[in-house]
Formats: sequence, C-alpha cells, structure tokens
Amino acid sequence: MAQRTPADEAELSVLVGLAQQGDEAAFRSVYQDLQPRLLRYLRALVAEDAEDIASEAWLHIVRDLPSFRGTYDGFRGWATTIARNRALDHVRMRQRRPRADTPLEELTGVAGDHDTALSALDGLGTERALRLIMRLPRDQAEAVLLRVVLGLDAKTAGQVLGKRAGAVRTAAYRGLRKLAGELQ
Amino acid sequence: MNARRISRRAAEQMLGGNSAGHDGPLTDLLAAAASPGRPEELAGEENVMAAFQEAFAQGSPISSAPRRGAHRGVRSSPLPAVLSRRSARAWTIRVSGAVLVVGAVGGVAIASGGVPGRNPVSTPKKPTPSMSAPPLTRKQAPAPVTPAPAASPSALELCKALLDGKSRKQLEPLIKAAGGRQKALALCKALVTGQGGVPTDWPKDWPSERDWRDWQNGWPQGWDRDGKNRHDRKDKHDGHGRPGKHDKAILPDVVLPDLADLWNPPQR
Repeated sequence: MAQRTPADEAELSVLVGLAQQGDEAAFRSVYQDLQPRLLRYLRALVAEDAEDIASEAWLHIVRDLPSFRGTYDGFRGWATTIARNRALDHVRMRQRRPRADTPLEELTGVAGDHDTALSALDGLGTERALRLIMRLPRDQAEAVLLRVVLGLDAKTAGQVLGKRAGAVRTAAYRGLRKLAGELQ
Repeated sequence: MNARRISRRAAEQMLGGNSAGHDGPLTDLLAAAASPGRPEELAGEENVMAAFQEAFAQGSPISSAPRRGAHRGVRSSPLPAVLSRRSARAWTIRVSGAVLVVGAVGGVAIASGGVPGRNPVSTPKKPTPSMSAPPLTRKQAPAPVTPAPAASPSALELCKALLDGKSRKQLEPLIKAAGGRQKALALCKALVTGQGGVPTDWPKDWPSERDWRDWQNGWPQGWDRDGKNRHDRKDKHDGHGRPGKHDKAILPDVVLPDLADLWNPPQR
C-alpha cells in the first residue's frame, strides 16, 4: 500500500537533500517514487491531460527544488500542491469536467480485456481501482487519493487541499463507505 | 465488507495503509490503487531529467516568482552560493568519481540501492515498497555507484563510530554537514537502524551525547519520540494510528543537513 517503512522515509529525505544539490541519481529516485503517485492523483482532476500537467508540475518542482526545506513527507505535500494548482488552473482554463464517467458495470466486472496495454494483472486492477475512486464526489476522491495513493497523512493532505485535517478525514471516510457500498 | 460497518477508526487505518484485520474488496481496491508504479507511468522521465540537468547546469535555478500554495514545511532560502556556481557536469563528475561521496554520508550509496550492510534490523532496501515492484518497473535506482575502495569508510562505519561516541577526524565532515553533533547522531541513528524519523525539533534539554551509546536499543532517554514531553507540538498528532507515522508527527519541519559541505570542493 501507500505506506512506507520509516527507513524509506529517511532515505528518501536524504535523496531529496542530495537532489537539491544537483545529484541526478538522487533526483531520479525521487521522481520514480513520486511520479506514478502524482499521475494517478492528477488523473482524477484532469483525466487524460494528467501526463501533461504532471510534466509541467515537475518543471516547476525542478525550478523551485533548491529552495525547498523539509523531509520527504513534506516534499510530497509540496510537490502535490504544485501539481494540484497546475491542474486546477488547467481545469479553469478548459472548463473541463474533472471526473471520468465510466459506467460502474465496466469497472466492477471481471477484469476486462479492453486495455491490452496494461498486460500486468495488477496494472488492470489498478486501473479499475482508480476509476472507481474517481467516480466519487471530487472532495472524497481527492481525499482518498491523497491519503492512499500519495500516502499523505490527513494533516498534509489538508494542507494540499486548503482544508482542515478533520475535513479531509471525513471526506475520505465517506469515500471509503461509498466505495465499500459499490463493491458489495 | 459491509459499508455501514466501517468505523472511522477502521477507515483511518485503511487510509493510512494498515489493512490488517480489514480484509475484503475495499482493502483490495485501495491496495490496487496504490500498487507499484508501472513503466508507462514514468514515460516522461527523461524529459524531466533533462530539465533537471539543464536547471543545474545553469547554476541555481531559483526562481524569483513567488510559489503558489507553498507547503508549510517550505521556507525560501537561497541555495548556498557555492552550489549556484556549480555546473551539473561538475556534479556528475564529482558524484560518480569521488570516493568521498560514498564514504561520507551514504546518500549516494542509498541512491544506488542501499548502504551495504547498513541495517541489521530491517530488510534490504526496496526503494519504494508501495510503488515499485521489480517486475513492473524500470530500474529503481540509477546504475550503482562503484563501491568505495577500502580507504574510505562506509557511511555505516562512520555512523557507527559516531554513535559509539568515538571521536575521529573523519567524522567531522559528517557532523558539519548535519549541522552539529547531535543532529548527526540523530541522522545516523535513523540511517543505521532504519527507524527513520530524524528529529530536528531539538529540545533544549537534548540528552547528553553519551546517551546515544545505547543507540541499538532505542532513542536516548529523555527523548520521547511519541512527543509526550512536547506539549507545544500536541497538534501535530492527528491520531490516525498509522504505524511509524507518529515519528513524523512531531517532526514536521526537518531540515536536512547541508550535505554540500561534505564534498569540500577544491575550487572553493
């Protein structure tokens, strides 16, 4: 799951520090950890434009990286905030519906064969899971994704969303209940 | 799982990645959503790396534009002047060639897949257990850095020496980089034991140095990692019970050591 052992957190914190000093290898490791998470979260906000927005966000992250101060946990929150702001700007500009509207049956059925690019079994499972989460009301979807996929705690997720930790917990809780109901 | 029967506590545990005792389709769904990253999700990697190289080749990429939504843990401060003059190429050479890098603090060794023999307690390094399954992802870390020759002590050795209370000239760069002996001790403790949670919110009554000699058995007396003696930080606890998370709850603004000092660049 999204949980890391403390050792990973300490190591990734050191890697962020090294990346800030120009260490490519360290930055690559940070990118490889964070990018898939960001991409999955962004898909809930901007659907098929997620990759473009993620790229923009990374350029911003690279630009401001030297001035960041904090642990990897803080870095994730910081980077996610950058990505989210990019995504919201994009949504405002395009006035696009942020959520996918995939029929529930398509998602809850047996793993389909419609997405052959994702040959790996859990890749397909991931797609289904993400699409189900994206069907939640947006505040719930965001709360669940920030907590589960990005691995942020409620407080950091609240900082990303500009909400109190309690509001994030409630939204995520409602989201989980709804998901559980749909999975029955 | 019955949707009506999910307690807030159970939900909080699942959201925090602790699915123990909550088996069911919902747990499976959350696990799938947070599954390891896939190669196609890293399609833009080389573009981002190119941007990174370019930014550092031009010296400090600090922007004058204000950042939106700056995280609380972020403080604006200029990159050390020495770094702003440094090209990415110079860094590459230094990083790949310098024995000192591997020996100094272990950061590069971590980047290349873990500090050898670093951790007697935890399992070998998996860079991101939650997001990186070897069969599905590309290489987890860049090409391994060639291990340092015997002349240079490993990060593990340095850290153990430091934690054992030894005083060596070789330790000085590490201490300097960490911003002081106590911070170096905390960093080393976190790295050596794999317990993470580098404390930097230093209490005034920080335990004396020799308390660290018992580092294998836990954090020094007087340092309550659960924050019990840290009434001013009470609000940092959000009480969701994620194992290990409490470490970070009291450590919101960890400032990493300025590792640049370790390199002691000759052209300085």
